[in-house]
Amino acid sequence: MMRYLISLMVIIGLIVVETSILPYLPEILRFYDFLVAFAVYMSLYQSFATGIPVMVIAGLAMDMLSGAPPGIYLASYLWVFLVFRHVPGWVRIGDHTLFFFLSIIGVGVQNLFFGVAAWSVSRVPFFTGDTGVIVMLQLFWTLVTAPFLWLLFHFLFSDTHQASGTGEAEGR
Amino acid sequence: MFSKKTMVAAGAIILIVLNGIVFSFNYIRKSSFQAAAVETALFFVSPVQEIVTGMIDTGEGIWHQYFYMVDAARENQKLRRDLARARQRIHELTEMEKTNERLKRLVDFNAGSALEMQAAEVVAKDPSPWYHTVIINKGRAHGVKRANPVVVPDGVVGQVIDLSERYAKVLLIIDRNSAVDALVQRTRARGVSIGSADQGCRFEFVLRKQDIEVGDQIITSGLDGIYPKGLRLGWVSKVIRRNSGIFQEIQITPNVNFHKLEEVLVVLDPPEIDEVLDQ
Repeated sequence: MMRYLISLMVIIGLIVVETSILPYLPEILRFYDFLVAFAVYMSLYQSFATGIPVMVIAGLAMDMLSGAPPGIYLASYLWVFLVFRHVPGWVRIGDHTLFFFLSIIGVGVQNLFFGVAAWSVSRVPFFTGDTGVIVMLQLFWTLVTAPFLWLLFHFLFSDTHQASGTGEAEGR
Repeated sequence: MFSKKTMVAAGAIILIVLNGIVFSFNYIRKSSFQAAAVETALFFVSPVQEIVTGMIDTGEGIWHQYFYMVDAARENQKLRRDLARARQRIHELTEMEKTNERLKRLVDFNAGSALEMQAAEVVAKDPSPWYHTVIINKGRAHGVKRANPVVVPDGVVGQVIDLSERYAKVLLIIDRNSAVDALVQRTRARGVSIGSADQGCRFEFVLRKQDIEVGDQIITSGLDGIYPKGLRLGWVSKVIRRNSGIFQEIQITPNVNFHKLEEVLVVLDPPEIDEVLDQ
């Protein structure tokens, strides 16, 4: 129960930051969707049963608030959560490093989702010069901020790890 | 030999006589010996006196300085707090002044228009950089309906696409899903303004033969049944006429600065398409 409450707080907090603070920052601070990093964290450190409802709530909330085609956020979070949880079985690198790389890949995947959706609706090429710059900026900021997000998520969920006694990669 | 009383009396008489002698010297001109004695005394004693007096003055100065510093530090802290409060107040007043200016423009715009409008505040923006919507703090409870146009004195902002009881989502005209039927104000050439990825709009379906120049003002035509006629959309920033094709490629820079959008007006009773056609 505690995990769901913390997850809900994280979702609300990140949505508020993304909708009420980040859009007012200068364009150079084109941050990515922090919830993608959260989805990566959930996929690596939380169980399937905990992660699925959390990802569905996060995806639906973002879909409702955004002008993007309905379901695109939900699809991207579920994709990240379901696919990335198998990655630790394929590669042998540390948890923190894996989170870092998967966050970058996750942001790229989400942008791909947006690109495909935009192209399917308007038949206009999505990745033009301007959008390319935005994607590069997003990947850059993922590179810079992902470790801090890992620390934040790990701090918030530290009590639940101890309470369950299952350690870090409890979900695997 | 002498009694104690006699000794005391004699001593007292001797002292009185000595005093008389000493006092009498004050009336006698100073001798050279006396002057030399005074000079010697001054030579040896005065430097020491000077040093001691200086030390006392310094100590006294340090003591007073210490208390002065303590007082000054306290006063400094108080003044810093006062300054911080004053700066905060100035910031609040500046913000209030700017808000007043914006609201005054909105009120003037509203008063000059025959349309019924509802003022609203932008409370959030789209979390995705790819799509351009904003959330405003007025909804169904305030008479807002789906497809109501949203404007500011500078021009058209967008239209309401979703709403709840107290909030509404507005699709901005720069979103790639937005399309507004529009006219070139100077030549009345017609086309459709469609949002593009670069925070601007494209003016599409304008025939090559139409005379359009950079700087021309684009306004709403009213024929889409959503936006009232004559509202400013933006100005032509680029015109490309290719050798092939029947349409021109035109870029529009919106009049509205969407980065600084804070308050908007929702048009509650936009004219029906029939009314526009009658006009």
